[in-house]
Amino acid sequence: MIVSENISKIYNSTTVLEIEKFEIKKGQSIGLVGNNGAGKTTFFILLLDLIQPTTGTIINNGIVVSESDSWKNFTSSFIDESFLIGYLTAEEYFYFIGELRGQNKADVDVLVNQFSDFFHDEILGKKKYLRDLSKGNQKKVGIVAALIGNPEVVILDEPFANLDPTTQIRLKEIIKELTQNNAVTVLVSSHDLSHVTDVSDRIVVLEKGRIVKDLETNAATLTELEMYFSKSMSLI
Amino acid sequence: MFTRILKLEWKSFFRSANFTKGIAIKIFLAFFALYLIALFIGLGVGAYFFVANAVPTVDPLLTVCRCVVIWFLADLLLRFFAQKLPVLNSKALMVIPVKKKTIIHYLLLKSNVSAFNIIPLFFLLPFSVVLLVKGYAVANVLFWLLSMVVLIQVNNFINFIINKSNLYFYVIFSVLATGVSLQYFNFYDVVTPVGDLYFSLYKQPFSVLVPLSLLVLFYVVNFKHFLQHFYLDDGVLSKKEKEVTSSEFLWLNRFGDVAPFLKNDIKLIWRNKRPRMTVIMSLVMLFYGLIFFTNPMYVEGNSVILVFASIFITGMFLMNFGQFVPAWDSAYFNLLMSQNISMRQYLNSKRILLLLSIGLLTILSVPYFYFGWKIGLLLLVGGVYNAGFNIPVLLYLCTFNKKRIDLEKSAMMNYQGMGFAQWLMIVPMMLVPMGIFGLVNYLVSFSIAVGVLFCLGVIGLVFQNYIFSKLVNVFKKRKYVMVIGFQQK
Repeated sequence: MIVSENISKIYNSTTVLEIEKFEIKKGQSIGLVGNNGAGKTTFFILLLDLIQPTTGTIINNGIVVSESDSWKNFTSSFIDESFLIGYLTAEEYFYFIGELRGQNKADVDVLVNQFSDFFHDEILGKKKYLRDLSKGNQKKVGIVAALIGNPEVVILDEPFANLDPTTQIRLKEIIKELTQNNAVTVLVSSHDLSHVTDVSDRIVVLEKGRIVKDLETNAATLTELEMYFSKSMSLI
Repeated sequence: MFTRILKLEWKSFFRSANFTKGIAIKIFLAFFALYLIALFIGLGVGAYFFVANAVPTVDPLLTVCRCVVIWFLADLLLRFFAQKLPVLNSKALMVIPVKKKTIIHYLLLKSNVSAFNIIPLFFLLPFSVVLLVKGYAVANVLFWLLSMVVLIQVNNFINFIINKSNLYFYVIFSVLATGVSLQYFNFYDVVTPVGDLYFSLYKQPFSVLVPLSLLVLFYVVNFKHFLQHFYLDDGVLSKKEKEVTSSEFLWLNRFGDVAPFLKNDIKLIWRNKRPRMTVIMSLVMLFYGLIFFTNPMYVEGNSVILVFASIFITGMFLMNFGQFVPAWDSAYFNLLMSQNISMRQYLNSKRILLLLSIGLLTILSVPYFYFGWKIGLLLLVGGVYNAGFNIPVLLYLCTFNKKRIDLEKSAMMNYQGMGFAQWLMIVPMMLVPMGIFGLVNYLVSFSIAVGVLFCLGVIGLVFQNYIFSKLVNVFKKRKYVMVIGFQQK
């Protein structure tokens, strides 16, 4: 589904990302982990063509992302609050995204209502602008909006951060449901090792822009990851 | 503790975005400040002589004192809408071991260092000097000056308390409203006795104690109110949240695939301070035409200035709002660039919005046709020229935009988002058509000159799709620069 070749990003002679070959199969759910500055977000925004790679290309479903816009039809994402329109209410925002993704109001309502437990009655029908919601509630809106319009690739940067425990558990269910039939490819980054191993088939560990581990998830993965990160702590 | 907070303040000033702005804006702002200062000094020096001429029977100082009544009222009105209490950083200070009282004293004192309080000095000081030269008693003049300065500070604190407390707002509002209506309906002349009171501040130097005690009174009132309400969810630090009514704008659906963006742009304008003020200014500027179209000197004389007026009036929104495309969307630019839309669709929605605005402003300027066929013709041609020629020029210049815009800041004196392109804009959009028109008008005739501008506009409209495709490609190349630039706060 997603192939990146020889991709690198260099800012003022500092290499923030350097990955030779990286391939993600359709329907896989990938978890990116790594400390701050490891290059997780950089990889995501390269994939979204928001920055230009210094070298290499990323191909999403056969489309070179920097050459054509057509990957946008099947790719959706929530990276940070710059993906929210602050002066809209949650409903207006969902409908706006729906219109962009060819969904009518009824379609959007059906989808959004599936997540009413996700919202704890704090978001829908509140007549509040998104900019006046709390950080956690903003995040919920962004994540749900990324699921509108049956995307085939979903990219979520740090989706578990700032969420309350109930919603974290619900989000894990949602991600598992998405990848159940191998229809949707999900890319998630997280600092929470246990959440990310719960939802991912494959865990990729980044350190200073390089892939240092690439694991198929199994029962031992969490321990291995914990070992790895406590070791890198002792090295410092 | 005070010195520490002052140090913070120093840093926040010199590290602020304002201070690190481009050199052109700094120079412009400096000139503007100098202009204002010069204006007030001139007023201060000239007021005495002007008033002595206008009302020769009365002591000029007394006349000025009566004018001061109206000045202070206008000052309070202006402050009420424009001056906000500085609350920056206080959130961070609330949780560290600084006494609440210290912070509040600091905030209140800081409010004294405001243009509203400083600019009047540029009037009062030269005016007092003139009084001294004219032989008024030295001590009396100095105490009168002191009283005036203190009264300005009183206004400063009255403004905060009526902004924050409904009770004080209604009390002070009813007192002032009573006074104004008594005066306005000629029941009772309020200005004269109050002006005489200000004059007695000159005659009886010791009466400076009255304004001083007023100052202390309002300071204490503010202080007590703030101390009681110094919590995050209370009126002092937070703004009130209003319930939102959503609207659908279904009639915009006729614009097809750009409809979602047009709807969004209308919400953008309606719900955010800066774009809203921009639109209001565009509408107010419609009246600008009265200056030109009613003046026989312009109407009879060469018509270049009328061309300026027509392009200006019909293109006000184009220039005011259009200059910051796509920076208006800077806060969520990443979303738009990764959502399922093409750059072409996105820019086309902006282009249609600008076209609609020109159409609307041209229709609204129809009453000016009353001033003659010449003016009517020029307004229509101005609209066509804006639509065909100026829109592509503006959109091209917009590809240089890469500065973020905060939608919730006021548009007045706001230079955020200004760059080189904004300064350059005036040349092709205003001066070029004026030059072409002036030249042809001079060499050939008025009707041919109008025809040339009209044709330029029409040519632009005929080739708009071709030009637009080129523009989209330029925007695509600039996208990455914009993404980075719009993230920088």
